[in-house]
Amino acid sequence: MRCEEIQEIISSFIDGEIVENVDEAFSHVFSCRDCQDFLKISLKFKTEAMKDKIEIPEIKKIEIARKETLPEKIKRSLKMEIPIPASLLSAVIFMLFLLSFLLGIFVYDRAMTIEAMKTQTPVYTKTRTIIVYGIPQITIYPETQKQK
Amino acid sequence: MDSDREILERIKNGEISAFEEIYEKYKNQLYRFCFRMISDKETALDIVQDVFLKLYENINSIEPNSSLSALLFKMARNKCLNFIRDKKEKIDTEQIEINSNFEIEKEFEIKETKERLMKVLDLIGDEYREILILREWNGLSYADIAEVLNTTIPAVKSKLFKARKKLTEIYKKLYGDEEK
Repeated sequence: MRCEEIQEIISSFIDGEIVENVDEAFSHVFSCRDCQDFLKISLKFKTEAMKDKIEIPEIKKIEIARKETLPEKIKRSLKMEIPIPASLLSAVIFMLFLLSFLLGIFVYDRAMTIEAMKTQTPVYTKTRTIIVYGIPQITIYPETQKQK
Repeated sequence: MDSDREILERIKNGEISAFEEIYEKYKNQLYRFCFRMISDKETALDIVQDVFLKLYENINSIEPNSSLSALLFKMARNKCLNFIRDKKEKIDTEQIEINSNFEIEKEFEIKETKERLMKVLDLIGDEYREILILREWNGLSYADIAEVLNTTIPAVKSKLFKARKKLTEIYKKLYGDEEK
């Protein structure tokens, strides 16, 4: 067998595989310097790798906790974020403002009517809303109550 | 302890604490792999965190019969390779050959076997490094390695042999016959 084939057998043997011709391969290794080097260095590497038990350092855990822990990241990933355009948000705020203004006018109008009924003094009884270019304009028509 | 499949089922059923079990089980293995692949502690940690986050996000799309360890290592491997590609720190063996005389003089200063082997691991190239780390550090089976690398078991066997051959070649080139 050539050195290449021998080393392939040795490689599988190092991995714990059941391979044929192991005896033949090892008898070759005793007499071949290159194959000896291959076996020696591969085994040395395996041994060092097995001893090299790297673990996530404790310092890292603290750093993660300070930044953001994994469960926090997961929770954040689960949160739904609905983007609202700034123009839409401004329009909604404007509409709410306008609505509250109109509501105020309405309440005032009602209050004045009730007051007029009580005191029997002339008050503004009617209001009319005119919309100009999409903007509601409030026009108040003063009207005296008819004397009976 | 529950098997990976059982833990996955528990996570799918909304048991978030089961995810901690997966994290505890694989965090060190993945960190070991990433750290040895990229030699950067901070990035290795970030990759491990990202891998678990991605796993959680895609937990429902994981097939019940697939190997969880292979899946995690596959995600970590892709991230490590992306990092290496971005950093352009890839050193190929041609460069070693060009600088061989200088390297030999310099590397004789390193006495520790472990340091020497780590140095060789850095120089061996990504393709061989990843398979050696998966096998020697993480102890993955041929089947799992084949799944991580999207290849077949005979190809894994052959690649491991070639990686060891390259390892021996570089080691002998750098350190000669010393400490045999």
